[in-house]
Amino acid sequence: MNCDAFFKQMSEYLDDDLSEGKRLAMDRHADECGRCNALIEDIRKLTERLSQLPRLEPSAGFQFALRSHLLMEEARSGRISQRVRKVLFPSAQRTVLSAAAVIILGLGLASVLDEHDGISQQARDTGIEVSVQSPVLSMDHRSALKQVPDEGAYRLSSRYLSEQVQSDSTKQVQPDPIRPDDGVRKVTVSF
Amino acid sequence: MLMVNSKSGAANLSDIAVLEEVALGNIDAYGKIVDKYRGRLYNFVYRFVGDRETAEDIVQDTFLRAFRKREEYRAIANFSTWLFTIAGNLAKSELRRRKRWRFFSLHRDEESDTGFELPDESYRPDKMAESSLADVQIQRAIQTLPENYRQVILLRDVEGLSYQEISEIVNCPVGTVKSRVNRARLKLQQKLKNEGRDVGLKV
Repeated sequence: MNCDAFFKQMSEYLDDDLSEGKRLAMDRHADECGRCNALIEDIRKLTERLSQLPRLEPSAGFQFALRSHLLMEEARSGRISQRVRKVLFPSAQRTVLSAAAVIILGLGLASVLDEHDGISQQARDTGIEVSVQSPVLSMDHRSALKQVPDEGAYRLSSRYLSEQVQSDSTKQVQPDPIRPDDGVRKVTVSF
Repeated sequence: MLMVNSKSGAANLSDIAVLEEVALGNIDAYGKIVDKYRGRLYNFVYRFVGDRETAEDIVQDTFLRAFRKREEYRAIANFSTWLFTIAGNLAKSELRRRKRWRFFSLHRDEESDTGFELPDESYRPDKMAESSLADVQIQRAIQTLPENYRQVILLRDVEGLSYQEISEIVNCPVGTVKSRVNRARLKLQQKLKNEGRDVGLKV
């Protein structure tokens, strides 16, 4: 072992962090080299001296100042979490009402969608064309009034009609003829 | 899961219950943590930056930052190592800030260059005990070391941390830490020798 290799392993040697073989090699070199032996002794004293340096403490006001900062920090974090809670869940009552409103809206939407599907399904089942006028949402009401609906807009579903009635006024409805003996009992009235 | 080290293993185990209380926002419980680590952190930071007021600010900032992360304590393997990491990073930032200030500053003097303030304003070499004088000289010499060497020699020889712990704090492999400690000791010894200071003095 030469002096350079000895220098590189000095700390590990002092910390007893070397393998048995390396430690013995270091011992041999220290015995043979006066300069390295003196150096290792100086380093050993230095590390001992460093471990004995006085322990320094912060000033008397340190603890008070830190506690003040911690209390402010706790108050600040409490305010932030409070604000978040206020926005999302302002109060228990409002939270319940909000949840109820969401549920009602959701059910309403579901029922509207379901009704639309129901009408479409019925039309498919009966084979009758049913026109479902969609509401015009993008138009103002004046434009909507001017809009001419198509013929099918007012056509009633067949289930509401017992017979087809034509709108032509020239056709007269002929009553059914009464037969003499049609189950009507004759009554003679004398004065 | 906690890493149980040779010197701080028992300390970590006893911190668990206290840290659980702190995680719930108990400031009084956090006071126990502060009492436990205040001295060690201050000692390390003061000797690192060389200024009492700055060291107090850094240590306060360290505890505040640790308190803000109180809900993440379960994920921290070694609480004391984590505190030293925060303190070390803040101290390095402070030294970098000083360098930038000195670069732009028109006035420079020897005292500010070393960055070390004398621990006692009534510093009188003829009145101080020999050991106290040696302490001052040693601290001056430590201040002349490059930051990387200064940090590891303080953590190793002054604070007594293991190489593994120092490796986590400085975020370097253990081999690198050992090499730095070795060079730091050699440099410090050479510096003190050049000043004619026999570091083998005993109280």
